[in-house]
Amino acid sequence: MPRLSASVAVGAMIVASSAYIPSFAATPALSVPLQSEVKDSLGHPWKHRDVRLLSSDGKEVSTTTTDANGIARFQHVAPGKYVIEIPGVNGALTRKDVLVTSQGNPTVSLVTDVKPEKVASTPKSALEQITVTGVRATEPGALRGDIVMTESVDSQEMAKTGATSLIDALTHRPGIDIQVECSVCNVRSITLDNLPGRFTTLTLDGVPIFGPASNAYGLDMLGVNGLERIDVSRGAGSSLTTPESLAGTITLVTKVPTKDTAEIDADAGNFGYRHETAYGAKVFDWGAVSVNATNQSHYSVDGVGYGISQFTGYHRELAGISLFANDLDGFRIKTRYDHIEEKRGGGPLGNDYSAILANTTGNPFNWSAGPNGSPYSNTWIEPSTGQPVEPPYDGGEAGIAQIIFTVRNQFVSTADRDFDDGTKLHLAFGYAHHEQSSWYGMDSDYWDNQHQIYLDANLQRLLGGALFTVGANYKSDQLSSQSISTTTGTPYYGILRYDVDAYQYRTPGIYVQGYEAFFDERLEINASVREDDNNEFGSVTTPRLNALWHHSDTLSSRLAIGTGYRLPTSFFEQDHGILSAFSVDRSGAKPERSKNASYSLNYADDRFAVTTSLNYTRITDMALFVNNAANNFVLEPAQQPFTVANADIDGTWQATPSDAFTVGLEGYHYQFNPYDAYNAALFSRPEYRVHLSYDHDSGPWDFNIRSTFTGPQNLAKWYDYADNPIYNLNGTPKPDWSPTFWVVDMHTSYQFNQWVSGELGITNLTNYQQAKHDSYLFQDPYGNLNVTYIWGPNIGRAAVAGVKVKF
Amino acid sequence: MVEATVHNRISSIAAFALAGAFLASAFAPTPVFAAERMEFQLATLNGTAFVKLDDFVNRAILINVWGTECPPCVKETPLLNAQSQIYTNVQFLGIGTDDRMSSLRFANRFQVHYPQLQAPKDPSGLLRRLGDLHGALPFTVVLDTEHRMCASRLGEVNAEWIAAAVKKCSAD
Repeated sequence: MPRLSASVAVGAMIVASSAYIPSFAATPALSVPLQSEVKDSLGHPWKHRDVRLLSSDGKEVSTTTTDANGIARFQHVAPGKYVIEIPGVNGALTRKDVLVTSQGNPTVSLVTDVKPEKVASTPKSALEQITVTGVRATEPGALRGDIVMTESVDSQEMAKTGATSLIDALTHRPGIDIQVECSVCNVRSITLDNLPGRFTTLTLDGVPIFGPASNAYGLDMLGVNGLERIDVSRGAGSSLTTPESLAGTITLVTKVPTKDTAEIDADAGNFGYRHETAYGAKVFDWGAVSVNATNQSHYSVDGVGYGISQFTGYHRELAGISLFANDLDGFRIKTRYDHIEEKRGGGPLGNDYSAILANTTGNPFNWSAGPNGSPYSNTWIEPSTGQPVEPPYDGGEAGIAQIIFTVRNQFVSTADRDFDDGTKLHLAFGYAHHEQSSWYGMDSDYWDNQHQIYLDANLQRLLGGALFTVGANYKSDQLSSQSISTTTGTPYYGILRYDVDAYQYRTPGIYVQGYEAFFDERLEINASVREDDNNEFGSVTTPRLNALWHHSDTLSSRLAIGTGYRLPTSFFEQDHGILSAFSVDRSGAKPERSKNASYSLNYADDRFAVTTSLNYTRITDMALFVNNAANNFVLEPAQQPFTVANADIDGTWQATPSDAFTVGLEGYHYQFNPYDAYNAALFSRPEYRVHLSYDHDSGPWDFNIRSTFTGPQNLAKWYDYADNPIYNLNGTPKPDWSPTFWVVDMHTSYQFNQWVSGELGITNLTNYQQAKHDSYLFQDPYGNLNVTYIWGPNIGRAAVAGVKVKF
Repeated sequence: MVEATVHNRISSIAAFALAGAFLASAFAPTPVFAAERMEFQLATLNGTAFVKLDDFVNRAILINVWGTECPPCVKETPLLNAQSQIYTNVQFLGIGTDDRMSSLRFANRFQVHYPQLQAPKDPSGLLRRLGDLHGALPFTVVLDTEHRMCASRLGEVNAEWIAAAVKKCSAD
């Protein structure tokens, strides 16, 4: 009797498929390789024959073909019961039940009645066309990875909205917002669930190499050129490797080239806006190389006639190169290096920074312009006396200028290897050097150097039906600085000082994560805990738990509970005054800690998709930077927690084949002590927001319009008016609540031919500017001027037109 | 006063979300990873019409899901194009998962003869219903004449697999 035999080797393995995994794909779930050796009755390899893997209920899971040695490989099979089926001739089938487990190497024999001489050979060409042998797609696996993604913006969506930076790409989305923290230096941060922007962690390909210094001016420097997508993970429970993300994590994912590509994009607009990018990729047998370059500039803008900018001018240049290796001693390598330079200046208009810094006397500004302006162009009304401040302003352009030059070099590399026993090894390395030279007109001159190193190694392996990830990482973050106080009357006026703003943190950490699916894979559970040991603050333990319930193919729920911590770092951007202070006392500082719980419900069918989520975050020991009675700065933890509870819902309806509408709502409830908010330099956040979008995509045209309605903001509470009243330049008090407003952006593109497209974009279509309703300038009761009072858009309507060439 | 209003507003949203979750959980059907009878409604790549599977009554349907930057997709598209001319008793449909303009360029490049559809913005739900739970590409499904799942393959297809699948799924 002819006899076939099959030996089955089973081991844990994470996906290493030649299948293409697009950005929308869920992370492949735990799976094991299944290998069969098929022979005929004479013991000869059964070559080039189809072998099918069926589920226990007879449905085809995967099909593969034996190679020249009679080996059939199913690369990714989840543990469970299967049937291996070998089709013979004339409809004859050979079948064998197989129990695939994560343990041992069971051997399965197949017996067939098929005579080997009746088996015709399959042409070799058929074998060569098979690039994927099969993935048993029965486990969604969304919680298997290190970071649980809650939203994602892919390169297509970035292109549709005309986004040129990370900031642009993330606007008009529930739960995500861009917070401007400085009206003259344009520090911006990304807020998640309306938590302070510094609680959002940024990673490049999963490597966290952005710190407070680089974040202050770094977000604008991150172009979207060469990115595949931006992943957003809201909640402290969303990340295993970035425990410092109290609010969540933003991950920039570098595009892996799959074909030779060349792209050039050039845009220009009003306010001196220019933007040129180039991207090229070459694919080789061993991998790929890509290069990208960006040149971007913008004038500083004053919308109301002060002569003082509300939008900071800049010129930035970026060049980067990425290398990708498919198989370097078994490793898949992804490496990226970027060099970024930027000069920005705000306050007085123009970009002749040397001339601005040299202009130190006289009054080049008009203090009477704008709403509630002073009656006098050269001074303002002191609220406590009702009289003009004397002497009038005499600081020249330099007196209110903020000019910042930054140079950043960043290198990130990841390596992944799959072993035969199913174990997966992941290695990551990141290094960033950030240099800043800055001149803050009324406070100080400041230079800093930040070095960051990140190392990570983890192993993933299937044990007893659960996928375990065990790893260790090391993070070094060092900031050194020099500064000179330019505030007359301060103890160190005009004296160069070293490391007034400095820290050196070394934090090794270990972590373990377990993942398993239950109830026919309808329920997925992910639980993890990590332990970090910081050289200054000792050990910190942060657990997290995620659960995903698949109600149906179109409906799922996710529950996440997690904690995080963040070390107090640099505060110069929070208050430049620290650089002029007699001392900065950090002895009472503590890590800021968060507890977060989130629930989301997602529904998606062919034409309608809706996601609703509830989130609760409680921050304790929030770092306050208090200017005490002796005019010294003390870093101390808040005595009361800061909590944000929010609910949001976001739905998209494909109304016609070419038209889609999106509606989003988000509401917030905050609990905090105004004293804490003031001393933690938290900026006002709205009570609710509404988002409306429309996309038309037909023929060569692509048109979209996105709008956000921002609800009122309790300025009196966020800015602690009770303890720190602030006034307009005419001496009247600032309003307790901000007005509501719409911001509307539109973008359209036209595809001229296969290679060339043109685009036109208009941002802030309704031209709503805070400065026309409420000045960014303010003063305390004693006439001391400040420039950062923010609740609304800092630039008016802007138009951009451009052309894109893609080969 | 304003805070009270905000409280009420948030409470309303939260109540709505929770109620939605409860109702959805209570009445949602058991997951059907390989549906008994498949149906979807997707726009054509040129944005002129919706196409439903019910438009192809009593015809077996081969559905190929692809991406423009997916090497196996690039490789198998000419074969599928040729096979669509051979198996005229089977309706071939392509579903592009990238932005419409990129997908159109891809389809034009290969002069694809059979209808090409645009996947939803998040195609993972559709792919799950087709049986591709991880969303890996290319993914090909053949439905029988009653539009029930009959054969599927993750990865590049070959002529033999198409022949076997067509034979199996269009016989009745």
